[in-house]
Amino acid sequence: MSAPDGLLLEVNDLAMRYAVRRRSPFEARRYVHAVNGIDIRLRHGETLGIVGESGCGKTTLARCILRLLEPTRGRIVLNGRDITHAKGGELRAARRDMQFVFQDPYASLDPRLRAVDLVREPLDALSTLSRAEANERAIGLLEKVGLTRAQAQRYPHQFSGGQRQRIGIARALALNPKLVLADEPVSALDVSIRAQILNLMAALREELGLSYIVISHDLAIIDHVCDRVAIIYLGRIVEQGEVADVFNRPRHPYTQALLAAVPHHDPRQRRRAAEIVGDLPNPTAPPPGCTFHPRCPKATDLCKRVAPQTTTTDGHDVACHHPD
Amino acid sequence: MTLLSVNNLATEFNTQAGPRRAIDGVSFSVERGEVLGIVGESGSGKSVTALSIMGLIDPQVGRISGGSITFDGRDLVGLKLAELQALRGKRISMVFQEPLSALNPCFTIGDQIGEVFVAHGDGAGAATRARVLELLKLVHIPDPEGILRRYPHEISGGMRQRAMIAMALAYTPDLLIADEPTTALDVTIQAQVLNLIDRLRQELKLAVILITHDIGIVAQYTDRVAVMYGGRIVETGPAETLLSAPRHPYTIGLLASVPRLGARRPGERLQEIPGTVPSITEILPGCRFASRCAHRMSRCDEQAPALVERAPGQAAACWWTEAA
Repeated sequence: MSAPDGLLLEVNDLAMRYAVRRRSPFEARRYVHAVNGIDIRLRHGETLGIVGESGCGKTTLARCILRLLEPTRGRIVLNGRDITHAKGGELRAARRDMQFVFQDPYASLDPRLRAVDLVREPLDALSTLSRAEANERAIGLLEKVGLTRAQAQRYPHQFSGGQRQRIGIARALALNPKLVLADEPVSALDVSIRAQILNLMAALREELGLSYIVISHDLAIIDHVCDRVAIIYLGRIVEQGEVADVFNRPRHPYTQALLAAVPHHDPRQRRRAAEIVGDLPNPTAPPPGCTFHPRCPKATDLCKRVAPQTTTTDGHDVACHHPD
Repeated sequence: MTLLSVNNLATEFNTQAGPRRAIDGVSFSVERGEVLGIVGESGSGKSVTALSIMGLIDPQVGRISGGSITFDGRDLVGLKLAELQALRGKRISMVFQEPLSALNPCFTIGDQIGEVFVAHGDGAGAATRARVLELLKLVHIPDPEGILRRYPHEISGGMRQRAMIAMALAYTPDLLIADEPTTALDVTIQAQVLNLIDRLRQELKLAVILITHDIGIVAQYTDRVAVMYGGRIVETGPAETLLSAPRHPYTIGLLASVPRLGARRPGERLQEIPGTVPSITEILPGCRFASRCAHRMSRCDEQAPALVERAPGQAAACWWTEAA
């Protein structure tokens, strides 16, 4: 069943906080707000990119959407069903619709299982197929991602990194999910192998009508594979919109700084990457007001006191007091 | 004046099938004040080249089996350990990819940088402390007095990499080897670190070998490039001409397979290089790239091509390029 408005996933005001370990029981409780008020809308067949530096909350966000974590605030609606606090059978049903592709294909596959068993595992757990049917489907999936029937009988260590990531993708597709979350799907792979995996993901998306959420720090990859992009800074989305809009006309100073920091591929256009000063602040004690203000070239008194609201023009969201 | 000249270098490692060459016939040179980029994927031999120059190949598992490394008029191959130790950290320094694993977790940043001076016989007194402080200022670490007393886990990745660079610069070396210095860092911090290395190159007239797999970094931060594949240099030349007019099929394929920011056309697929990177044990007599190459000829499987100049300063090792 699909929601009437064509939305596959809607995330409203999502927040997840972790308690910081106290040194003594008399110390006040402190929390890290890893994700703090995030709104996302994903249509059927759409690919959303999530960009941010390490520690910004991208992975926590993905784990909340998959309901590997239960968020402390907000609402997650998948295909018209509220799964924010789903449990038991309801949660298993939701998980059938969304699957995960991990960053490191060396660490995410059980070395004792053959490729066919790895892909069959989710079928055994969550489908009603017989053993023989599940086997055939697993081999079919491995063929779909570019491996052979003979290779299906091999163990993970007999495959290269790119082939392992293909197994990871086949495994994610086993239950016919509608949404696949991929956390840095190619960053552990060799450069000449990345294009193979990105092209495979694009082909599968067209063939199976998948929606993707792709987490990456590589802006060129986001530019290439995504329709929309959300830029996250310290647990908040600072800018969101169509990739072409956001990357060609970035409105938030942080997005501008990220884009300017990417070294240009053409040596004839030599320009020193514009530097953004400082590091990501300590998330247990985020700065008041706009959390980006200590690093922002445009920061004013207002930014130091008041957190900016998100404003939307032509489907392009920005949370900044002084957007371009 | 040529500072470093590597000639026909071969380094082999013990494998179950006997010693196998990880690099084979590698030649290049670096001048003072110049940045040479070495580009390659895992297994291409780029890190082995760096470790060979540093004399850091563990004699238990491997050895330099041929060629010479001439540094400032002196061959480093076959130097005694004490002679190497006098050079390392003083005239040749190295910055590693992952600063967290390269730093000792049990000692403060100040002690670890100071240790360079102790190792070279300069003691750990107040004078050394002052020099460490100066180094931290040189690499633009904010609050250098505070960082001195911190342990590696207490500071950010960007700060750790700056501390590593400070350590490498302790004696103002002639040659700095940076092996993927920013791969573990976020893009905004990457820009800070690369701009720092570039500034130091200008101020201190360092020769720099920058090992990377990122085409953008090569384009923006190197003067000349050597592209490595399967333990050999397959193409070399000035960054500007090599990147705009690559001659070797591997370089051509690599440049075409990498997504570039702002170059996307909707629905377009990336160009793939088929196959996978060869492993050190399956090395064939001919060109190492032949099995993945679209222009493979019978000669490619029989005889390894040598580097031949194709444009001013630009040479490719390829039979197809030579025939074209």
